[in-house]
Amino acid sequence: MHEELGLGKKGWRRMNHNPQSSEGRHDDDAALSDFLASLMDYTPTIPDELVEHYLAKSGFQCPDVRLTRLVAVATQKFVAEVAGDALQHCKARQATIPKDKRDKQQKDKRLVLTMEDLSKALREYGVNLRHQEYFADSPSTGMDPATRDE
Amino acid sequence: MNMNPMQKNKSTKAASKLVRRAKTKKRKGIGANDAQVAETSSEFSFAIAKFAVAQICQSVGFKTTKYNALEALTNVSTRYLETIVRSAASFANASNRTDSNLSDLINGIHDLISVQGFPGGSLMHEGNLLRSSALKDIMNFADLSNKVPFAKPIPLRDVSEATIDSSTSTCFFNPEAKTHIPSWLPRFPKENCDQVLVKGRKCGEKLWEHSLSREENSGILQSNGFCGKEEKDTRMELPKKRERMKFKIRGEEEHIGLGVNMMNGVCKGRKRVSWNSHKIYCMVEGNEDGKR
Repeated sequence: MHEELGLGKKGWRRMNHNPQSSEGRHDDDAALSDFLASLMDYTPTIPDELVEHYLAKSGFQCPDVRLTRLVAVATQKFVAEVAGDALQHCKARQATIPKDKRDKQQKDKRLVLTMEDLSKALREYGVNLRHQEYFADSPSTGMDPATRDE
Repeated sequence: MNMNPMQKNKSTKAASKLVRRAKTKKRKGIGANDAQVAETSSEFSFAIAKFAVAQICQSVGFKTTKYNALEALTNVSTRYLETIVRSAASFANASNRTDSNLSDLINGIHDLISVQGFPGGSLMHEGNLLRSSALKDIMNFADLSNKVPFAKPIPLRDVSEATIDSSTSTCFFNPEAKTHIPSWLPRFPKENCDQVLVKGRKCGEKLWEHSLSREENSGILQSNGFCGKEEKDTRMELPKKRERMKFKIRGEEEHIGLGVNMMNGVCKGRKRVSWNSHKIYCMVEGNEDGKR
């Protein structure tokens, strides 16, 4: 397994000193190799070619396709988590609106991903997202007519 | 509304028409029938990533999404992917390796996932890297979540390209055709390049000149020509046909005629152009013209 993974000279040697049972380690390694084998059956949403484009762009070189799939699955998990958190924010916002049932049903059908929910969700992941509320034609747009310079 | 099937080669800079499917409704006034043209390869890959991210959002439960929210999320996710991969590559380089392996990738994942934290994060640097709980989270996600395949048909890779190494049970594809090499150059030799070079050294310079003088088609760019006499007769098939050109360089010889060694230079068709430091001479086959 060490040769397969190509551990460097300063590799992880601590496992040799671990007095714990080797059976547990074998199970973990077996689970890992099973998972990597199952990755070839699992089709991530992000296509392999797209992932390989970004791998090549970033300088990641590996002939093993399973690692490509692993990267795709990791990214998919990230996106799913962010989207899930945004969904929670959206639902929480709808729950706090004290309106009658008809309005609520209308709003429940339209679960929309908005920038507001997305920025709240991404803040927990260390990404600060800000967007313009609106764009105006000129600095005096929307101002009181009496105060405008004409 | 139909989309061209995604090409395997993304490095083409030709404009590719990409028509947006009405998968996610847009609220900002961009109609579903508008064709968006991706002019660079990065735009193209970004548009495809938008598809994938929209599908993931739909699988989570969203019905629609705002256009700029989808773009922002796609931007973040592509940067996330690039960051994992870039840190994995730098880990590999720090260990005197050019090829990354699983450990590098796990370290890269740890770097990014430690922002929001994961169970077992405090033991990240102590335990076995292969037993990281971040990896287990990903495994659980892959097991428990529903598969969401990409919406558009993707042309299948050629099966013959995939080679499975039985000893290490890794599956890898042959490297793609190197597109930075022009098509009018001859292909790389199929045999081991070391053998070719060794033969060249053993033969010496003489054989190389011999092969040049006897070759009828395009001279110096041949790589197979100088190894063995049996290969002289076989014409090398070029991927792309190119026009004939002769090119010879010889040492200082006695000055002929015009004061310029006419054997130096480029001969194209029936015309030979030679030069020295002062003048350029042109000689047509059969006649001698001097031009300044």
